[in-house]
Amino acid sequence: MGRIVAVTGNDAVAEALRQIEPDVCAAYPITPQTDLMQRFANFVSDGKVQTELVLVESEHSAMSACIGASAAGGRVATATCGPGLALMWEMLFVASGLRLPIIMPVVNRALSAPINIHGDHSDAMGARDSGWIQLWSENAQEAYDNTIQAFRIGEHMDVRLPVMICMDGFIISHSIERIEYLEDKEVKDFIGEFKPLNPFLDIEHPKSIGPLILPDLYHEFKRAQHEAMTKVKDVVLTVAEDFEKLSGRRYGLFDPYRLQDAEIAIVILNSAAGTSKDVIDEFRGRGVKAGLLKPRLFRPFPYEEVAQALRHLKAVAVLDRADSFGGYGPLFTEVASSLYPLREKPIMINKIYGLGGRDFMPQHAEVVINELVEITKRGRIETIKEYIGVRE
Amino acid sequence: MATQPLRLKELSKKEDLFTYGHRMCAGCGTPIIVKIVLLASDYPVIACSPTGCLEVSSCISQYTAWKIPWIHSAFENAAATIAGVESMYKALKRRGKIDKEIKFVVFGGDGGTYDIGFQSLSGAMERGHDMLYICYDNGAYMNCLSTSSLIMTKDGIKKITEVKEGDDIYAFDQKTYQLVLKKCTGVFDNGIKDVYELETLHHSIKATVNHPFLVLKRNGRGRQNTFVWKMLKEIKIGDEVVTLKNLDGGKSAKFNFTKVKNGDNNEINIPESSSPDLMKYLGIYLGNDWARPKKGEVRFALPQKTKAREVIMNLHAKIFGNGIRADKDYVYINSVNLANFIDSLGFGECANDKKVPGWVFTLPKEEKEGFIQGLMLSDSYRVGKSCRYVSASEDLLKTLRLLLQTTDYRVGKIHCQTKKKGTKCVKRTLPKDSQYGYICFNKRCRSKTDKYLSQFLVKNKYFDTEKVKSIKLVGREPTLDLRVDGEHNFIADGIVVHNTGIQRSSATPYGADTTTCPAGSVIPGKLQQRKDLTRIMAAHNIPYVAQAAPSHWLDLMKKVRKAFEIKGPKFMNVLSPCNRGWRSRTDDAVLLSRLAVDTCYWPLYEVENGVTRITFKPKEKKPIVDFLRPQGRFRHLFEPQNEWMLKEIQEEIDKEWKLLQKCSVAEEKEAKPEDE
Amino acid sequence: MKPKGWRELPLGGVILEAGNAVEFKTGGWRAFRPVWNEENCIQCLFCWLYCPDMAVIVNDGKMEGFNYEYCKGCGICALECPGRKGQKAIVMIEEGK
Repeated sequence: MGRIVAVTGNDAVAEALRQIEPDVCAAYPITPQTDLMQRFANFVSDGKVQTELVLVESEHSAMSACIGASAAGGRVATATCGPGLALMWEMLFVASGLRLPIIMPVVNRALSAPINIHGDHSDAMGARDSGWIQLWSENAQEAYDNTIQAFRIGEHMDVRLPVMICMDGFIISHSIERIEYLEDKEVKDFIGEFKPLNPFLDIEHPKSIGPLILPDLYHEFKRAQHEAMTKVKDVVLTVAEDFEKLSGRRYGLFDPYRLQDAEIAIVILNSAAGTSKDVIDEFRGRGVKAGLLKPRLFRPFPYEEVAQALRHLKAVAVLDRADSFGGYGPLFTEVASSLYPLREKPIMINKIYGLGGRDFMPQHAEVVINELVEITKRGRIETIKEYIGVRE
Repeated sequence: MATQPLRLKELSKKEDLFTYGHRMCAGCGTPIIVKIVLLASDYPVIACSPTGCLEVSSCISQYTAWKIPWIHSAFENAAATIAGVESMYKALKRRGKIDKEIKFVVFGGDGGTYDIGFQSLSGAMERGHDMLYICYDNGAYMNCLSTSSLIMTKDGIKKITEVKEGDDIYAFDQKTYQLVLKKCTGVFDNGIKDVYELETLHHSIKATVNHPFLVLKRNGRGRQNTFVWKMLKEIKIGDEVVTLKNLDGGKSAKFNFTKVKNGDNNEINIPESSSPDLMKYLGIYLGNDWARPKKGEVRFALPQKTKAREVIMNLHAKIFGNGIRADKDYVYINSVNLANFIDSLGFGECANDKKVPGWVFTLPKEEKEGFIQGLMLSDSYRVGKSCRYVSASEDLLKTLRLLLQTTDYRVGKIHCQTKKKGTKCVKRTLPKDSQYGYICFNKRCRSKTDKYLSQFLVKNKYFDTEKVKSIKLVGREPTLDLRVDGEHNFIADGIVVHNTGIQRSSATPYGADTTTCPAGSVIPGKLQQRKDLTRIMAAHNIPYVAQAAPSHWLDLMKKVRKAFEIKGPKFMNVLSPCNRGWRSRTDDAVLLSRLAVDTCYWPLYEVENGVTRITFKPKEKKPIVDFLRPQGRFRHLFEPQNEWMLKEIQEEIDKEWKLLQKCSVAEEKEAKPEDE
Repeated sequence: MKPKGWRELPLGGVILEAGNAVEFKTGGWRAFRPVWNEENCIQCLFCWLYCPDMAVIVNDGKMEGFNYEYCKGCGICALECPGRKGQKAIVMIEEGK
């Protein structure tokens, strides 16, 4: 089995990248991703990896170079967060449209304005339509594990799509936790040799990439892309199975915590889920049948599975660490869509929390669970969407 | 590496790595540059292009003209994309997976290089990737309508292929929302492109995806609605486009007809100008029959006891005098003069090629009405509340539809029907299945304007808005575009459209006229000097920077070869004449390139490791006007009030050339003849 | 080329047949066509070099004529032709004449 260390989230992901050793890495620094790439750059300078590290002049160029490199026919990774992800937004769609398995850890950071360097989910949520697969990580261990699995998932021949692995900026990226690393050889064997598809550098068989497509064909291309997305769920589960054999750690499409016999539950992503789980335990101790659902695969969203997991509940609070101004939070919208086809479904409320790195404390979770209890008694709600933890 | 000699006879044996079948305009300089560069290389080349003329025309739908590996990802990042490819190449080479020597090249336009692409170019050069960036510089961002489009001009409607520079064209005044007349300042052939049909309830037009239309933007209750230009690809079903519903009252047409001297019914009186009666007569004529000038015969197929026959007999007597005969089914006039006269009016000869000639659109309202009534009497019939007009001539239906739309009628779209063989048609039976079309129309009623307040232009005399019902790909057709002075729009098939343009980039030369810095009455074109990108790239301290031109092919090829032997980032700026944007002749791309070099507008030099060297000195330095004169985009500079600009331009060129000669190393090569 | 259904599309739109633009004949764009007068030709090959559409046929180093399936009739070849003794080897005549 692997080594046990105490490292930060950024360290852990950098280590994962070192063990995987992509052929090309093009990145641009941005807090709080910076020391992830710095650590990786150290590996390159010390000759620990043979990766071609391209220190580009902007995130847009980072994704562009990744696209060129991935099309050329090799394993490619990069990392970014917040406004950096926003800057490369145009190229995210190009990467998925060209079906290139680029892997990108995203250290979730708030978007400007006002400029804020701390953690919330607005960056990756803003990119949810880009055709990238999204895996969300509660802690550094999950981030490390997800990064390794992401390569297998994205490179799978039924899929061939880029993957982003999300972890909370500063909260996870800069906090030290206990991590279990796998052995270098185990990781290399797990992800295997990169199999290029239509490698561009194969000059014996020249090809043209990125043609202009007109309305008579574009619709069909996107249908094909949609089809690839429908295959992802099964691949994620298969890869998770293999990973469990390797590491002993089990992963699925989401993490159901004390959900089976629950009456009320919270649906929440990333690190705040960890905080909430403790609160759930506390309430259970008092006899309240509370549970939690922590999504892991957000894109493609596993609608049927989430619906099955939540259908028996009386009330559900979906907590979003990002807002869609003028609408409901993105996670709420997905959960509501998954429950919609059911005749009997739980009452749902939406809470916006923790924007711009605002701490999510156990008391906030308590307030939410208490409200859920109230709702099940009264059988109705006052407001669907509310900001919690905000000073009036 | 053993290199092939740079001799045309040897080079001609090489395979074409950029094939024919690409869709760049006829006479474009860019494919010449790509060809010359690829011929010069003895190494395998991998290319990347940013979004631009070359990219869009060379790789479209599922066709590609590239026989080498080629990639495009976006507009501003060609340098970053190829940097990624080059990095992967290095990584795989190190792992022993690749052993070939490959050269990485970008072919980027000046838009994607000087402007939006500058950042990624600068970054890639600074990082030292082993790549050659070639900018094909045509000095602007260089889009069209199907050649079947009918344009509203002062002389009536014309097919877009018949419109000439200097014609007066109707346009939409974007400040007053009224109809104005503007001069056409150019006609452009854009080649065969994918064409889409945009249909509203009463209008339809065929255009390419990037053709801008004037669309109503509703800004909400209590706010003024505005008009915005939207490209066809951005228009959604339900968007409201601006259409023409009325033309200005016109004048009666004057006829210049001389009678044939000898033979025939000289008592026939040919009128000198049009009148409502004559137009009614012609309306009936158009519907029903033919004139055979050679035989001297005019005939109407109007059976006895029809209203139309009664009318035609009366009108003939009123206008022409006598000479009309009739039998059971037909009405005849035997007159060479009359036959010639009618033939000269342009209504067409037989059933299949009839049309409403352009001059009818310039007539006053009563005369147009008369014409329409004549038509209704002859070949139309009532269906419910509206009239239906049937014809075998598509041109006739199209032109008639436009005429009706601009005379206060509401017209539907052109429907097709097939009349089977054997159907009785007047007195004949059809020998085979025939294609017919028909349109339905009725008078526009004076509606209560309050009810239609949502129709923004309802009180406007000339224009209306109509919702877009569908946009469909209809095929590939030859396309054309017009440039219209001032308003930069015109009316095609009854819909207001923009002239596409040629927008300025930072590479656009001083004084040039483009659509985003037009030569107007106050500001004479672009007032900024163009960016000297070659020197900016030299300041990056990269090993090799050069300026070249396609006319001097040997110089260009030598530079490419030199660049490929150098490791590291290289940049070349190559002049690419564009007859569309430069408004020059289709055949003078190479000539203009030569003039650019000979006038020292585009000096040929290289900077190798910081040392500048002029690689071609013109035998005789020509004045800059020689380069400017053949180009329409500089035409306004030759007006007397802009003479000062010509002087400024010449002074700037002289200054730059002197400076370049000063920094250039003494090994200047003498002007060599380019042919062997 | 027949438009494809979504299942038949290549992954990511990549075009695997390099240079298949040759299936698209641009000869129909012409309003003028070049005509070769062999007696005035000095075989300089400038027409071949400067043709933007690779429509000048050269075999074994010798110019042999034009590929009218692709020639767009731009006229560069005619303008650049040096000819022999002041007489051009390429002239442009109206298409259809």
